[in-house]
Amino acid sequence: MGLSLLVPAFLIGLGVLVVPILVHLRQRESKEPIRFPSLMFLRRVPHRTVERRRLTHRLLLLLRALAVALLVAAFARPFFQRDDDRPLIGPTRRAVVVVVDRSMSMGYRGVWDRVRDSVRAVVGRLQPGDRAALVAFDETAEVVAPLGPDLAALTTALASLEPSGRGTRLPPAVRLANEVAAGARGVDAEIVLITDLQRSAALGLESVDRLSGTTIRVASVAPDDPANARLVDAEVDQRVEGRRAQLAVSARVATKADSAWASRVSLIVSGRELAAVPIRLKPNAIQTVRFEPVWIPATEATAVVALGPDALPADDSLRLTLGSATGVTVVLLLPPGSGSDESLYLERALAISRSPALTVLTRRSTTVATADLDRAAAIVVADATSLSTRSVGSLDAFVDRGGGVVLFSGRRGTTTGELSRWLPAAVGRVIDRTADRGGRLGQLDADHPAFEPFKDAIASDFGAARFFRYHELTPDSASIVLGRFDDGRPAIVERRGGGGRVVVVAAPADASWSDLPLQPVFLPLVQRLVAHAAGLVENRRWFTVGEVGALPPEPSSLTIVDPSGGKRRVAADSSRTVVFGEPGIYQAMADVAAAPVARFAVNTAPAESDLASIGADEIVALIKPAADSVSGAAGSRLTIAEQERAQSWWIMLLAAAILLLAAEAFYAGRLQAGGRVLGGAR
Amino acid sequence: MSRGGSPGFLDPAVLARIGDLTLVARTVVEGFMHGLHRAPRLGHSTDFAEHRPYQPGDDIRKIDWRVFGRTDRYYIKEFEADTNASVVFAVDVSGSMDFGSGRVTKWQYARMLAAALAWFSQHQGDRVGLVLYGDAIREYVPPSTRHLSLLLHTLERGTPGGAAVGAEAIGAITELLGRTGITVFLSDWYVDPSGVKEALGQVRVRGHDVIAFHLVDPAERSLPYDEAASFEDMETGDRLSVVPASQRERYQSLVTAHHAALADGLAGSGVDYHRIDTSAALDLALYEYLRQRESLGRVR
Repeated sequence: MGLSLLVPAFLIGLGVLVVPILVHLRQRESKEPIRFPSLMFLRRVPHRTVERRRLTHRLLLLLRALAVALLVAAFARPFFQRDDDRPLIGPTRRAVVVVVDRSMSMGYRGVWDRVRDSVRAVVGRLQPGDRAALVAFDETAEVVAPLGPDLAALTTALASLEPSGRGTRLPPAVRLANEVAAGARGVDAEIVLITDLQRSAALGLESVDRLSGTTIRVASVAPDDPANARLVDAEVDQRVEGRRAQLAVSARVATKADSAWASRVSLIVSGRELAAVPIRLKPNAIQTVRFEPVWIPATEATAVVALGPDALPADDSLRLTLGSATGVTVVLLLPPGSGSDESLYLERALAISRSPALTVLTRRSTTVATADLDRAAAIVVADATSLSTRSVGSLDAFVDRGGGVVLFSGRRGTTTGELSRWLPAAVGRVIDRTADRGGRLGQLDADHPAFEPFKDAIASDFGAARFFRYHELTPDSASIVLGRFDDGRPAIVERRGGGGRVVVVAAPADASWSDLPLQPVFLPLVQRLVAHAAGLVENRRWFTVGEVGALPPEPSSLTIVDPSGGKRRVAADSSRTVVFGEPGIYQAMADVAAAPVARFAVNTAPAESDLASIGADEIVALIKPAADSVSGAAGSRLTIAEQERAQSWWIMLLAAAILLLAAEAFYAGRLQAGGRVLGGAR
Repeated sequence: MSRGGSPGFLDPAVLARIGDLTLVARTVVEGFMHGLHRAPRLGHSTDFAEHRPYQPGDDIRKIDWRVFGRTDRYYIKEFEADTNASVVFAVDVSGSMDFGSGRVTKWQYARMLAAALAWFSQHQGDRVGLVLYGDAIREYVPPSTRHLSLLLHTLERGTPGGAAVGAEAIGAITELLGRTGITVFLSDWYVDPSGVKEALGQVRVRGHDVIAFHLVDPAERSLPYDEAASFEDMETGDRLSVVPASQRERYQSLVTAHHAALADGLAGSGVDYHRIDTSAALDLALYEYLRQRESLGRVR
């Protein structure tokens, strides 16, 4: 049975013991002076400091010191730990939890060898009777070898490890290590963290507590002078012409190095290098590389942009999906009799769209033909007020099927009746802002997917457009306002319906009421609204490890094949998503033999390519000791009731301290009454 | 002569409770004399004392003619004194006299003692006077047979305070004492012994018999304090940090040396010096005074 303390920090209070000792040494002077007939003789008596420091009233001092010590002990909550909380077998002296970073960055040349050496060094220092565990982590952590005396198993488990393509997060690793260390049941535990000290990995580490009774040691395996080049992103322009497609790709390459770096970047489709460009980068620079357009079969679904290998090869390739947004047909519905001035800007904006490439069918009518609805992915209506009420039903069905409708308010009046009810917002009266030299777009939802490309330029680009007139939109309760004018009135309103979306804009898409079509932002805005309404925006060229991709609604049952060949069945009633755990191409197919219905290109996380490191001391400092843990009882598994019983000592200590204080008061009172002679008159 | 009296009546703590100083004085004297079993009018007598040869200037009425008839020589017949002496009580009222570790301060003790002695002297037929002094003379009651009440009243009104007694104050008292007589000093003598010796010596030169009572509180001698404290001088207000435990022994030796110096110095000047413990009964002081007064009772 061993004595432990629940709140050992209170032992600091023992320092208070100095106080009574000092009091008794100092011979405390009473505040009121003693009136004495004459100091004539006292002045002649030499005053010796040594004698002042002689301890006086030693019994009183003993009482006071004991009372203080008992009070401190009571507050420290001592308790006896039962022997059965200690290891049951063996002379175990120490438990070591080896935590190995296996993130993508650990694939840097030579780093993984250092990891093996470090683990062997840790294992080599262990003594017979010690226990060890191995935890591997990247974005998540797992116990590779549980805590046990078999050190050979730990070495074997280490051999099976290799760097993954995932990012690094220290918090889950330390939490899991704490849990493993807690299993040490009362012996001293040590957590050895073997990592390359990536700064980004320490995010959130300050929220992790260190298990009391454990020590954390960080073994750095970071490269001495890291230099790395990586592919940042790529832009793809794909035009399908019959059974082939022209592919134009540009990619951005970044380096983190103190010296210039030369290599080559290549475009690979179906394992064949179709284009290559030499590149010479300055230290710590970013450069864009453009490949000459190449012709590929229209059925090709993926491509890879590859960089010449460097010390960290995992981020030297960028996987892309191709073609999913090609061949999109858009119907542009103009009012009957409308002039070219009314259609010019919309037609041009849609015609030159590359991502996605659009086929524009221009119709002058108040209704949309069924044939057009069948082939179009999106309908763009130049004047919502000219739309016939008869079109509402077919358009509604079109949206339910996943189609998108973008309507501009036009300049012909207002919407009424069935049309008003169907639209996300009824188009009402005209607001004239000519008196105040035109209104502006005062607010856009920067986080909305439709406006994602404008995130960095929303204030400047959209703010330049002047709206001299616009319609007053009255959104219904199911709609979302994506943007507002500077007077607070809605400018763009969206409503989702079925699988598609309807978006209405409060101004015409010509230059009669506003100069928006003359602004640079007009073309991408129209293209983005159409792509968003048609559900094409989400077709991302690639994802990064750890992200989640949405699976298509059909077919209901899918098989996911991951880059390493693993298969997973997705049932109809399960979540239609897939978590990307490794870099490569994920495929979703109806069954294993069928052609994929969706492909997802997954690349490494950009943060993992940043090898900027944090100090080992900083990591240790970030992990704070747990305030409420039990000292000396790592892994103690006492129940609350047992702990309460074991800690009842503090009551007795407190009672003893109170008794001592009472005795001290009595004794001090007697000393004062009997030993003090008052000066002056009575 | 035995030292009798009733200790109960002469206990200073008991006497201090009696507000009327006249009553105190009377109680003390009568109680004391009752214990002695002697007549209260000592020295006042027509009894024959001695014969001495006639000298020119002597009153011829005092020639004893019977002796002349037998011896044919002129002798003067001397009697016990039948004329009253002037007794002046000089009581120290400096700040230090306000100290008392027991139930009686030195001032209260001195006041009761002076009152008792004055009462006693008055009933001897002496003229009694009073001087209250500190660093200077504060009150003066000229000696007279009718001034006992005034003397007691002045004593009652007196309050100690102010600076210590100096030789200058004693010198000033000397100037007040015109006729020869007895001067009784009551003080705690926190002064330089040599200065006191010189000052009181001057009083002696004027033909006065001097009795010096030295009032000492027990705490002044023993320094019985335990805790370190700041001590405040009751005369100057100065303060001094004192650790009694470490300074006591040296202090006691200094005080003893001071007392010895006073006793030696004053005795050498013909001053009758008596140290009185203020915790002791008043009979010792009365006895000493009585003894001294008896020896001075004869007028030659």
